[in-house]
Amino acid sequence: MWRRLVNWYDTVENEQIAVLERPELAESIPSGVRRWHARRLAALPPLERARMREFSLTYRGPRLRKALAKWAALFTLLGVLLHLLTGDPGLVPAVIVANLAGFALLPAAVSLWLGPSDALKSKRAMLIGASSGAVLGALGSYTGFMLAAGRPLEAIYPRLSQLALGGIVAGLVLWLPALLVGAYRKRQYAAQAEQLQRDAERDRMARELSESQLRMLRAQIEPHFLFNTLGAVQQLAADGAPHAAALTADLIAFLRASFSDMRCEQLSLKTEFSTVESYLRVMQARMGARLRFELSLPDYLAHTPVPSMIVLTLVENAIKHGIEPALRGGEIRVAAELDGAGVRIRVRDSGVGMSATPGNGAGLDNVRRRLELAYGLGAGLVLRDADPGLVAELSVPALLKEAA
Amino acid sequence: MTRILIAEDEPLMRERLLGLLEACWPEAEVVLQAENGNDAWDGFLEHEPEVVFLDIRMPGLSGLEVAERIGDQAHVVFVTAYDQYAVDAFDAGAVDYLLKPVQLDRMERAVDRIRAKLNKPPADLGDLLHHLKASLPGARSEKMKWIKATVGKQIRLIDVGEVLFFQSDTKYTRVVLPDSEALVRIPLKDLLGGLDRDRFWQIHRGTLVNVGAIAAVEKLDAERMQVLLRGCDEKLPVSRTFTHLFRD
Repeated sequence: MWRRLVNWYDTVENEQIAVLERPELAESIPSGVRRWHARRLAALPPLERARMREFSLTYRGPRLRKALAKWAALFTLLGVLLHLLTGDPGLVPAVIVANLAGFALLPAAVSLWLGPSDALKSKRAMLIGASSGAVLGALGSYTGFMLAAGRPLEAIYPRLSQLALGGIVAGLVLWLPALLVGAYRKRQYAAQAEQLQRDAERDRMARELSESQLRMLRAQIEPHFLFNTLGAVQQLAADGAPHAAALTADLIAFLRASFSDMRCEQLSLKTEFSTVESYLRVMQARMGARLRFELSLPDYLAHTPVPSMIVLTLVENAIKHGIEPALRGGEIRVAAELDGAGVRIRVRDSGVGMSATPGNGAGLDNVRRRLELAYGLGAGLVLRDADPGLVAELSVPALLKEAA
Repeated sequence: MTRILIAEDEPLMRERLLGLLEACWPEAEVVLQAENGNDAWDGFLEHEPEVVFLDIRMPGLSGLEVAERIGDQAHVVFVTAYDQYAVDAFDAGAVDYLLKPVQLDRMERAVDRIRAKLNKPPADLGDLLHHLKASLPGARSEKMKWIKATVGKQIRLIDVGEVLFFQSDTKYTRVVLPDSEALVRIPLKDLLGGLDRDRFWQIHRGTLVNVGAIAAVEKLDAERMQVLLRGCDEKLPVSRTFTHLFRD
């Protein structure tokens, strides 16, 4: 009998824990009180469900028994005190009543504490529940005493109204603090949920940032670039040309910078320009006379911070979609200048221009997203047709938005 | 002697292909090293090589577009650093290709394969290439609608549809209309890629003709043909490479 009871409790408990984790399971539970209960659990807000699940996982098996024993000891002590203070209704009945009442209230208190949303859903139902519970409890105890004392049950009638009134008052007395506690817990949960959401948003931003940095890196060291550059190095080396060492040095500088830039959210313009220069020198070694370039960065802007790899991405776009497709190649000019409160960086290429270069959206989308993450709406990227070629114009505030 | 054309836009890679070919196939002659697709196609028409090494990504016509034009008139070997979809298609269609940077053993193998095939007619890669071209990044689908031509002090805007034919004139191109003509500063080989191939047929290295303007084709002898136009007395010779356009 005891075993079966324990087994039944374990089943219900596991069922409850499963539903708390995956609310959709509620519908698979056999209909009846258990499903009704499971549905109520499933309807709780996620955070309350999570806390309740933690609680259920903590208080099971020996720990549950130990906790129940502690509460029983406390209720017994209260019963003894009640008896000592009032002298009524005898020590044993007082202890029994205290335990019965205590264990009747305990689950309600726990569910109110952990899942206030469900309890507060209907305040009237809560009041009716508390009052009728108290009335029935009082009636039950009284009947019990009468029977135990061997007195006739009829003696109850004159005191019925008194009992009912006492029950309703007790219900009210329970209801009011329950309302307050429930409301308090609900607010607490709301604050926690908000905090969690803020944390999640920050995590998401950080993830998006590193993803977009990674995408940029991947674009830079894509197979076409690597294989063609290595081919150029191999050819120069096979010829014993002194340029082989110089090209290798530029490639190393570029790759080294790409990997370390990727890990920084922002860089000084000086560092960014030097990565751009390594890249352009590598491309010049490969493209020969088809590529000319010029970089200009005034000293006073050398330490201005910019999001890493942004200028580089624009220069790569200029090569890939401007100069490489142009029959006779062209020139790239990269220049930074102060413009009012901000800095303007222009990447101009004399290549084939906008209309002839489809499919360069992804790189630019990435640049725009990076700008938004770093400056909110304070930065901008504009592409303009130039004759010949294209100008990409980047405007950023002189200072980065404070990292959140 | 086998005649070879190399098309590759990066000078060092071009040098590499040349060096490897000299090492693996000393008795072949590289007749032209083109640095873009337009020169490759024009050079093909000029030199009529038996074997063509084509980089896939080049300025102007892509390697795939050049190969499509070459059709079955030469053995083609593609060269690419990394175009996985193309490589997969080449593997499936038993098309020859080399991966950049090209290594000696790979070049040897490619040369052996080509030499074994030299006596047979080259495969026509038309369908395969037509498919692949669309998936090549940067493929130009947009065609020219207007041509700017300087006439005296004026810049004329010519509707491409009204042009009867384009004819190469050293560095310039003659643009012939029913009632007039103009010169543009762009060489014919660089105009090719921007014109609709179904509308303008190349009938000679130096001539593109509007199909709608063709009145008749005249056979001069077993090999030679010429095109007669509506609204124009000029007769345009069809070179041997293009006579297949008019055979039934």
